[in-house]
Amino acid sequence: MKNVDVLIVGAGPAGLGAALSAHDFGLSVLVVDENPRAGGQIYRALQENPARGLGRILGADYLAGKPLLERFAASGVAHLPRARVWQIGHDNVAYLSALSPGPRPEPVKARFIVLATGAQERPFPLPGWTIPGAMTVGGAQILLKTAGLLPPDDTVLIGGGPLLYQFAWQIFQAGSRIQAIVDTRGPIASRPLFGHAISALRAPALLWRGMKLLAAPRRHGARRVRGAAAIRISGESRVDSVHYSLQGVEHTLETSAVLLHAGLMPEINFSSALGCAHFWNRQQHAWQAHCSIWRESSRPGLFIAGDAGGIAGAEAARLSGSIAALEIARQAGKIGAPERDERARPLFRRWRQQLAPRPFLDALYPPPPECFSPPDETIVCRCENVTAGEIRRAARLGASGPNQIKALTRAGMGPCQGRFCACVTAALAAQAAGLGLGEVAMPRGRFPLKPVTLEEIALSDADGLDV
Amino acid sequence: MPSAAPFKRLPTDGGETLNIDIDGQPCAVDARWTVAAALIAHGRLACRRTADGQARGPFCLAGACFECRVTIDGIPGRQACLTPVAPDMKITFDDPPEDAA
Amino acid sequence: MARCFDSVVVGGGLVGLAIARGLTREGLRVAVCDEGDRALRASRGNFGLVWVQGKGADSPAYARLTARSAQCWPAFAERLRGESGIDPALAQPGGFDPCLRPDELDAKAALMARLQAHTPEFRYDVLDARAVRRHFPDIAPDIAGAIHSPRDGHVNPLKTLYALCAAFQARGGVYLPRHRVTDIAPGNAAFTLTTAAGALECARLVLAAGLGNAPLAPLVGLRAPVTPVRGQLMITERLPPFLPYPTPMIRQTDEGAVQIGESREPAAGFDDGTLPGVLAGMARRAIRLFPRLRQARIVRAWGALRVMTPDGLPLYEESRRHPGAFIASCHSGVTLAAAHCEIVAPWIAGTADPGFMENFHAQRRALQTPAD
Repeated sequence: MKNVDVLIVGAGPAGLGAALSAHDFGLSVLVVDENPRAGGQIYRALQENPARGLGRILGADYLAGKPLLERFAASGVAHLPRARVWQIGHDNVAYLSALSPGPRPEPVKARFIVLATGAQERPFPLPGWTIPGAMTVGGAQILLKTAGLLPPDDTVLIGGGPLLYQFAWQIFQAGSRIQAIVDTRGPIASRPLFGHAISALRAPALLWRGMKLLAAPRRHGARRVRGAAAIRISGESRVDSVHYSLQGVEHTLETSAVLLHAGLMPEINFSSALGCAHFWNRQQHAWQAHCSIWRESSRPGLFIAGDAGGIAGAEAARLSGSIAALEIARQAGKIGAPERDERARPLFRRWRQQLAPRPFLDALYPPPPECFSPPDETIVCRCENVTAGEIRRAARLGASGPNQIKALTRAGMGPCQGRFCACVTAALAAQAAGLGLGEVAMPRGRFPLKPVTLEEIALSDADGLDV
Repeated sequence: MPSAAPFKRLPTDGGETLNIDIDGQPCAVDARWTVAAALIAHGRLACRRTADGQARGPFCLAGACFECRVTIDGIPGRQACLTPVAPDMKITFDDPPEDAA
Repeated sequence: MARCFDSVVVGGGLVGLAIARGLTREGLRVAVCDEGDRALRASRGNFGLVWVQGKGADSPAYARLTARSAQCWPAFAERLRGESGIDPALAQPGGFDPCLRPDELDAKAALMARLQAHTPEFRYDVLDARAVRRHFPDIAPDIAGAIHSPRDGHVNPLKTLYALCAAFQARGGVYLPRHRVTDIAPGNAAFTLTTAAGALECARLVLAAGLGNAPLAPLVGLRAPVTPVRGQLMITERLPPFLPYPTPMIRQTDEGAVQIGESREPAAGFDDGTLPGVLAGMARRAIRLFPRLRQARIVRAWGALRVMTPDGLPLYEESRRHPGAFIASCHSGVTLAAAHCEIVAPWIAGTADPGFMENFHAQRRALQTPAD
């Protein structure tokens, strides 16, 4: 067993921010991440991307990660890439699994754990979303970052939100094109939006960029479809069309790839499996762990930094990691409360600036209503092929939330552990019971956080297989 | 079915390439790619079948959805999106789905 | 204003729903009160065995109840499927209890002999490793042997729960989720229940709330000496069929997943989580028995709390002080589901007395504490 002061799960901006600050206080730090290089999804392959001019294509937000990655590389902080934490015990021992061949990583006992596991894209279950060729916008963007691959010219983007328009803009920057954007943004309440806009004005650069992104599709010959209903994807072993209805008229777009985006939500499988308290964030339509201003969860010594604790973007993530490290340093006896507060003041100020436009963006891009209420024939649980109709039947028979529905229908029992269905299942349960989205129980995460072999479990606390 | 348009590759910076084997076919790929990128670049978007026979392929590309499981060098169930390619790597499909490729 | 029913069953798990469904067949208007989505639910975490071997070695009545339930299961499963459209996936091919060491095998053989001494219709064989391998080609060659009993089997316990829930409602039963019962007031002709979602009234009350029976029973003059005994389980991804028979620790479900579990942890209290050390020990034993499971991927581990009486036997009793109030508690909700529907429910409804229910009263000697 290895001992460290701080174990950090995730090498994105939040994890690196926490790692560098904790390291500065003389704490021993280990950063574990699934990918070969530090950077998280936002800065994927930033230091070794394979295409020419990718920095220009991906834009300033991407390149902004460079100094952070350089500082991390120079810091000497221990970094275990291509590994994942699959279980954490009551005694703060984390069990690790290697994604590459080679020796099995030892368990790590940590005084403090920082979950910096980031965001995931909200599932957007449409009929046909399981057909090969349908993927997430974020997934396609990772292909661009890591492999220099652009989606086909006839690609259709479905959904809305900043990431979708940013990715479309990046495709145009690369000199490529797409066929259409089916924007699913519903009618928005203008009054709260106006209120939020005032606070968003504190971040004018962001607003200006947003307008530029929204204008780009038309300039590059992509259709922008608003108000589409009954959207579905068809094809056998590969996507071949998108269908939708517009004011009662059926439309079909032939296509080779469909990219879906319904916003981001925090990765909560870790904090949920660890029994942390969570709440339903009404603005972001997602569950989120309760954290102190120092990012400490309801489980003492467990901190949640970055998007894993609420969607706020890369720079806010980095700052929240540093803020968590300050409190860790205080609890570890490296600094007193006055010094912590003194050092935290500028971080909090910049953090609040980053958060200022969020309510506006959240109100401007609520998740498409379709993603919480798919038609009966839609597969909701991709792993176990459970349809919305089957889930609705269980809910009608009284299954009162995602956990009961999981038991009765198997929705959420596959290897993704409900990451791509549990929030939809919960929404369907809420609708059946006449409750609000956040008024049903949260899905309970289980270990292993991602599948591991029985042998890995067998060897997790022993050197051999002897009984 | 109309033939599917391909994912396109940006001009590379001239990094190394290596050879892997996708279901018996030799393929030259960028040495920094993941298996998922290699499959997609070669038009292989379906990589497994569900218990009831539906084709599935890479979806989230971020290690979360487990749709891109393939057999790599004889070990089944590996996530293609989290596995970098390696020289002479052999990728097979447990239950080969029909595919445009 | 209280809603009125002939019978209210408190508890929407396997025990409560099986009894409730049985009560609807007696022509009663029945409601089941259940908690919400996050509750301690043994029914959501159990192993799915319909298991006869070894049950009731020291209690002929329990051996008889278990045997009758196993016998009733095929017809019961068929009716459930007919009424709900959901197949509980019953298979009763016989069960094996493999033992690694000779002393384990000897101890189990002695237990079976004790059971057979008072219940001659119970059949079992003690098999050596070679005989076991004829049935289980994939089992480790160097095990000591196994106990085999031809009446054992298994179901899909979650499908059973779902089928019971659907069948109960198809017969007009009213299932009330989010109705956690907080108080019961016995009256002259009826019980009044206070729940999280309003009051209910009934002439006949069945407490089938698992561990929740302990605080509820005294409200109607009953006693429920039940405590939690945690079990931890894990399950693999679907695998091609290779386990033709269930064992108490490892079985392959109708869907292909292999379920592994055997821990018994009375000290865990009401914590239904998992512990790394316990899972690791179970994994080593599973690999020891079936080496090919080594590379099988585990998708989920979970804990569940058995509802345990001091002597391990079920508890069925009608209140003397408040006739019409019944208690039903047991840790074998799957094995006994058929009996709960076909035997216990008619006994509660007053239409048939199997004649052995007094063996399961809380007054029995094993359940008396010095304080009583």
